[in-house]
Amino acid sequence: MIRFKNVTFDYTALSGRDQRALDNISFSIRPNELVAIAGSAGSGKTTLVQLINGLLRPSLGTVELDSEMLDTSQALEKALRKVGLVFQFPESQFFEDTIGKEIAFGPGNRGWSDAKIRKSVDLSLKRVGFNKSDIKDRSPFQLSGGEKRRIAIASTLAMQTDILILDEPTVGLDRRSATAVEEIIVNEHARGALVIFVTHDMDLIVRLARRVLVLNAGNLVFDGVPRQLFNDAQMLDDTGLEVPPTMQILESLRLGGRKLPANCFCLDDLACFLDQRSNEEIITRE
Amino acid sequence: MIKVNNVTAAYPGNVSNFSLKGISFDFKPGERLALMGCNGSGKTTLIHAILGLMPLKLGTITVDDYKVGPHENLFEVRRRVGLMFQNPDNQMVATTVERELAFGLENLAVPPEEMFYRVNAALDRFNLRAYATKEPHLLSGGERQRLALAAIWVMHPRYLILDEPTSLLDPGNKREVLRLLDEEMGGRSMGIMLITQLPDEVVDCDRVLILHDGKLVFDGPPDIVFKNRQQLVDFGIDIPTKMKIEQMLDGYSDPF
Repeated sequence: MIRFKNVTFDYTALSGRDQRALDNISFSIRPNELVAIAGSAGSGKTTLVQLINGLLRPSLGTVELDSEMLDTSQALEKALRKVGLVFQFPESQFFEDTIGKEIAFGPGNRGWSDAKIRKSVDLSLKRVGFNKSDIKDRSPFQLSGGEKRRIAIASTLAMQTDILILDEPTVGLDRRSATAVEEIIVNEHARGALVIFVTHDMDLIVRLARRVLVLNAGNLVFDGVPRQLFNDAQMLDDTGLEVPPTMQILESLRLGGRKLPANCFCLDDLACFLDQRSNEEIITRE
Repeated sequence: MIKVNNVTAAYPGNVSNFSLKGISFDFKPGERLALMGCNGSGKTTLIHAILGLMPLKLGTITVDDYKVGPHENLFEVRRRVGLMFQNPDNQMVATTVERELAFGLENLAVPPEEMFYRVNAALDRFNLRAYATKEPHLLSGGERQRLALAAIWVMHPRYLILDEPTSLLDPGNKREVLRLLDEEMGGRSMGIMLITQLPDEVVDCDRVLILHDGKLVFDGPPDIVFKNRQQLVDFGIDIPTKMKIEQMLDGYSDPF
């Protein structure tokens, strides 16, 4: 459970410039939610994420993790152990010479036994789709871009946190690799983790998220289901977001005279609608 | 015209594993090409080869009849071909926005009056006037991407290669960068090569080139190339959403 109460964050103390990144934000996220965070560049998304895992502390207000306030160094250290954060382009931070060592690095820092570390490395490799353990001896630098991203995610999963946060997890990946990363997100959520991802990809929000938080100039301006957001043209305009590209195309087809329902937000919706229609036709014929 | 003729190349020290295998295509000023391929297919290597950053094992590349080689015609080639990276931070060198715009021109030995004129034009066209004396790193991501684009525009290249120019941008900034590409770059009969993973971005291109495992497997107009859906899926490439929807609606008739 994550709870923000009237959180304000200024970078003034860090940068010397008067810069308010978040302004009086309150929300809570229950265990096992799957939440997207959206907003234009500079809206405060990264700051918000770093407040959750204790990298930053609020200037005003409080952040709670599992009902514990993040205001002492012990609580902040605990937060780092509870929250796994996958940065943008996480593969750029590889430094070990084998994949096994790369993934074992985080668990090793937690002082786990060798046996526990080994088990965790194997398990997290499986969770990102590598079923053969011989990959552990290969260099992470020899992998393709998509494989590197999955290994980087595995090295966060290996720390077995209850909360997983990913910053732009599919950016720069080809379709096949992006789909693999989407599957990891869905699976981690199904396994019971609280998953948060930051993205500029509106189609991804519709496909994956049950809830979306929208930030605009440091304010939380929307907190609800994606479909409600994408029906609110004014909100999208004000926040620099857009209707998902798939929805735009469906809308232009409707304007062109095709009789498609207005509640199609993604290709899955369209497939459902078409299935339903063909079933109805069969019933009518019978 | 850029002519890539039967090019085979491998990274130094990697004798058996070629990154580019017998690639040939032409790229004319005014044309808009998209280059697609999954991670590791050879896209970046190809760009390096065109700029003379990659020795060729076989074949030749010429840019407006200048032969490209590790030590040949580099000045002539690079003043003709502009390259923009995915992350604008990788190409910022100067302390202010104005100086950033002037940097390339100084290297090209453009006369001061001409430099002054071009920098000012860039500040206006790319909506950077308010930031002229600011440090580039204080700009937002979208502003920095605009600056990177403007810094190439001032040099008047004949060809522009963009490596995933919008992947880090929010929807608003993405639209703005694509608009600038259309209006400022396309309007000047510049050849544009767009490297992207997003099939929706390439539907308006004249041609789409698809690389797979170092080979050029498709080269043609988008509506023809994307018809090979199954093959493209095998190469890890998605087709544009619009075509997917058309295929789904194929055979579906609207209720009356």
